[in-house]
Amino acid sequence: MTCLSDIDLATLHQHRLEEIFSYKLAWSGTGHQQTQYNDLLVRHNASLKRQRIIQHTANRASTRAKDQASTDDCVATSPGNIQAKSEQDPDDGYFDSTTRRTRSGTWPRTRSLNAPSPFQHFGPCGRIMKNSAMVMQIQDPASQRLTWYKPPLTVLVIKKKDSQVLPPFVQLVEWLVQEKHMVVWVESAVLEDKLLRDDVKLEQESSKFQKVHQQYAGVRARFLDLREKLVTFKDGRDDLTDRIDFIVCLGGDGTLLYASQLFQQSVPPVMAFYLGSLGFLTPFQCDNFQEQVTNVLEGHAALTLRSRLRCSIHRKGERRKESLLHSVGGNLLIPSFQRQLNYVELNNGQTGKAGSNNNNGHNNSILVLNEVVINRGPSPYLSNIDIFLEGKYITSVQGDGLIVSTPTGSTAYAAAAGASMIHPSVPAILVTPICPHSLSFRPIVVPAGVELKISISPDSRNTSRVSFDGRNDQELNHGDSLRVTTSIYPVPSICSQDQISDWFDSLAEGLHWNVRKRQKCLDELSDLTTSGSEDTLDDFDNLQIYDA
Amino acid sequence: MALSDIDLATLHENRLEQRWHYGLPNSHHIYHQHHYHHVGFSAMTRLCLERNLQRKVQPDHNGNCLARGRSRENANAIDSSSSGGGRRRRSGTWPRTRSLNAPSPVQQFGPCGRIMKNSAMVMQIQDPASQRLTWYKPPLTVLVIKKVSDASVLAPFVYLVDWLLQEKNMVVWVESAVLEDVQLNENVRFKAIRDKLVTFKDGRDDLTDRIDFIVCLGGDGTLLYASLLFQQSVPPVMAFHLGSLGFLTPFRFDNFEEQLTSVLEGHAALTLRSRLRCVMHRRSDRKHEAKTLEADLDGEARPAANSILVLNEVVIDRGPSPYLSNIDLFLDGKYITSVQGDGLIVSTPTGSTAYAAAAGASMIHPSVPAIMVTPICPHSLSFRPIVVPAGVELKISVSPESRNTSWVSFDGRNRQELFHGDSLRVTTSIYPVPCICAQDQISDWFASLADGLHWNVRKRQKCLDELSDLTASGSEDTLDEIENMKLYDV
Repeated sequence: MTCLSDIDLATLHQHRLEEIFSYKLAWSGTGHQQTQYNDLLVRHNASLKRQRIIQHTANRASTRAKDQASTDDCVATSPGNIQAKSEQDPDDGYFDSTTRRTRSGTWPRTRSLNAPSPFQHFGPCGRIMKNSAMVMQIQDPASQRLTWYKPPLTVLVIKKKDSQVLPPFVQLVEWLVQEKHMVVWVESAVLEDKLLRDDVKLEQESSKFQKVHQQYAGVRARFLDLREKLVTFKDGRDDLTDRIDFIVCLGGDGTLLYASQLFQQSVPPVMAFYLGSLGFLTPFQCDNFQEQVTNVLEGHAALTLRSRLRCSIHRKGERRKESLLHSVGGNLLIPSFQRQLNYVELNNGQTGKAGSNNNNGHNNSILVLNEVVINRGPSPYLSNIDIFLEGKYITSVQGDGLIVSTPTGSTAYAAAAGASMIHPSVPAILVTPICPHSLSFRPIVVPAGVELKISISPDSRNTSRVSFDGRNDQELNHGDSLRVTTSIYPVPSICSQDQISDWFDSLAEGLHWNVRKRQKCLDELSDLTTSGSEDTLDDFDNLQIYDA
Repeated sequence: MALSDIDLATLHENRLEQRWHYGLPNSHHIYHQHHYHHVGFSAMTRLCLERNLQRKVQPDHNGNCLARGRSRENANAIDSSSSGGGRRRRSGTWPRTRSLNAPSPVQQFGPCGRIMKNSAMVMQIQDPASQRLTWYKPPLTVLVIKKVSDASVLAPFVYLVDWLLQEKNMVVWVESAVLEDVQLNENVRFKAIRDKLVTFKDGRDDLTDRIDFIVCLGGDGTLLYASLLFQQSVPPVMAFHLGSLGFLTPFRFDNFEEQLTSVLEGHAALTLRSRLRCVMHRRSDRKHEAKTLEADLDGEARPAANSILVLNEVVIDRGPSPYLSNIDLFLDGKYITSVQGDGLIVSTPTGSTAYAAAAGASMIHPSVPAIMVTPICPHSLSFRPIVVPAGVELKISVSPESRNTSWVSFDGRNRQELFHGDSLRVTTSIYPVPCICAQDQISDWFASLADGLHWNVRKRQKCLDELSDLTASGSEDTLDEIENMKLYDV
């Protein structure tokens, strides 16, 4: 595996060099490098053809975009004039209200999700002090659409560890490789899946497994044909930064959380499919994936930027901050004790190379997509956790623990702990206690720009455990602190319909939010009345109310 | 009544002259009916207005406060001109706060993915942490709202009004009902200043653009009332609590002179509390609706007659009917769900600590741009409050199958019936309520949670070291027993 992976990485690198040459970008390699594999030429030529097709499509898309821009300008003129007439105050020039426009375009029309610009005149005299240094530009979430800087060539396919996922997985990978001529990355553990291997000693397996293995013969045969064309990686060893153009997740919300964990900086666009029940973060159905993936690859996709939290642990005795958190990525397939060993091993290795590490700042932190949880662990005592916001003490949590979550995570553990559910476009951080031993605790929502600090109270009877999206469980000792802020690296999730519809669909199907029988109207009830007596009717009404 | 009419006209004329003095464009309409020498109004009122004119005519002889205010204004101008060079670390009188806005997300997604540029959909947002009040010109008129039917507010009210009149030389507006308060009229100090006050009556007089500054005394209700009075731009509001801290009233009255002076000089941080704009669409009002739309297109300044701005929430409930409500909820035209229970609350982040908190919602900081949707006693095991972006439009209507109509109330007032076929539209208003902060936005909010709701007030569990001192014997079993007792006792 190591040998194959190394070769594949080298091949990919060379392929990228040729790609750079093809686009007339700066040449960074030596001239005498040669193709090591014959099929590379074939694949390269096929890629060139596909690139020309995509380029042509991009040109048409660009033209359409320009036309739309012109239309918008025309529409914008009229409300601008109206506004200009009504305002005579020179102060208005700086804080103009944003005029809402109506778009005509190819994608479904969605209204603005941003709050309207507040009117900043307060009576005849009151104004907001101008402070251009503190003004930031915010793209309207409803208009966030994906565009490709250059055509995507590499795609990472993440699948759930579930035999039911194998047929769609193999079908998708086959299609991506043969129809779309993309370089497909998968986790190395996929190649070790017994259902996908033909060298398994069946006599050593259970009869049930032998039966299933037999059923997957067709899937396995197709996969073996593809096997040599796949690029593998191993989490914790290989860094995927800037190597992946596109991500496809198959099988559930956990796959998206795993994708988030793999990329601790910029995340490629993610298209997430559900199999079976609709997931919260997986809006696409697998049935017609060809059409949908093609649509996305051609640049027709709306995005939801799911914010993440940046978490860093500050140890009491450490001047130098923890530098391995991002490397100790938990693997879906590795049990917890193995994770601990992995941590120790990498820690030792990293210490020797501390001087050469140029990502010290980043290595200190972990980015989470759902939440960071601080709880009492196996200790029988109440947790005793102090929360500080912008350096100011807010409160203490005495109970099972605390959840600091993103709006995306508001439908996860935080929902179970009683918090309101927040749309992923609302810029906020949720702070939710877990089973607080208090009659007056309540989840709160704070602005996304704040910094939270969580530490163990000096009076606490125990230490605490910290986990990030359910992984990387660590101990938080007295004197340590955990810092949480919103990250600048969101997870760009591709929408199936639009941001609002996708969210409410996931509430309805994922949580059966407010699924309830409808109470019938009185007219229908009256049809069931056999007598005209008013008393009988009242009695019937009462029955119906409690029955509903 | 007559006095009030005369005062309003006189004040308007005074404003026209004031605008002329500042070189502002004057309105085409000039009132000739009343001149300030007119014998009609009282001597005290005339004296007060003359003092205002005198202050205008001879700026060098203005009071200290006004002079400092003017100086501060110049200082602000200098700051503004030099702010182009990027963020500066201010050394000033107000505490430094970090940004409350979410950081700008990196919009490169891997080597290829990007956000399509769409400059038409980009808006500029001022960082809430840096929102500070500045006076375009010195405030002259102040509206003082005091809590109703509370004797403990009377003394501070009289003291404040007297100070504003005598020390700050401001024109003080109060509600006409105040002058009819029996206890107030027995106050010797109040009698002396009664004739200097300008009165108004809600429902009859429009305060738009007549008030420069608002002071609220006595509780959150006073701020809700201030919000109700101004259905467009709201002057800056400084809200004092008397007794227990209110959620929206962060100031203590003890040293009001110092604090008010600081605000009038321009040293104040602001929280812009967003409001909701609620419009009732009647089924029988198709023509009226079209008419309203026409008016909006004409750009009329006045809002639609059937729209109300609320600061806390709009509530739709079953009223006195014994049946479950059956309310359909649409978001941007898409059906979301139905509420079968007591009703529905659509609230602002400010209202998250009001009725919505009682109904089980999370509490949201007023700087988070959001709208909360909270059911009231839903007859469902799977309903949960949700939070949606502030830019959406919500539509609420009675379900065709509903057994009853519904009732709508706005900040607890203006109760109306919602019939089958009618609908209520709710959006975020562009007119926020600018509340002056006592400390800063974060500290004020958490102080109000702690004092107003006793959020998570609880005895602290003691550490084990203290417990071990109570151990009479060294037996481990005994220690465990004591710990267990302690645990349940806490």
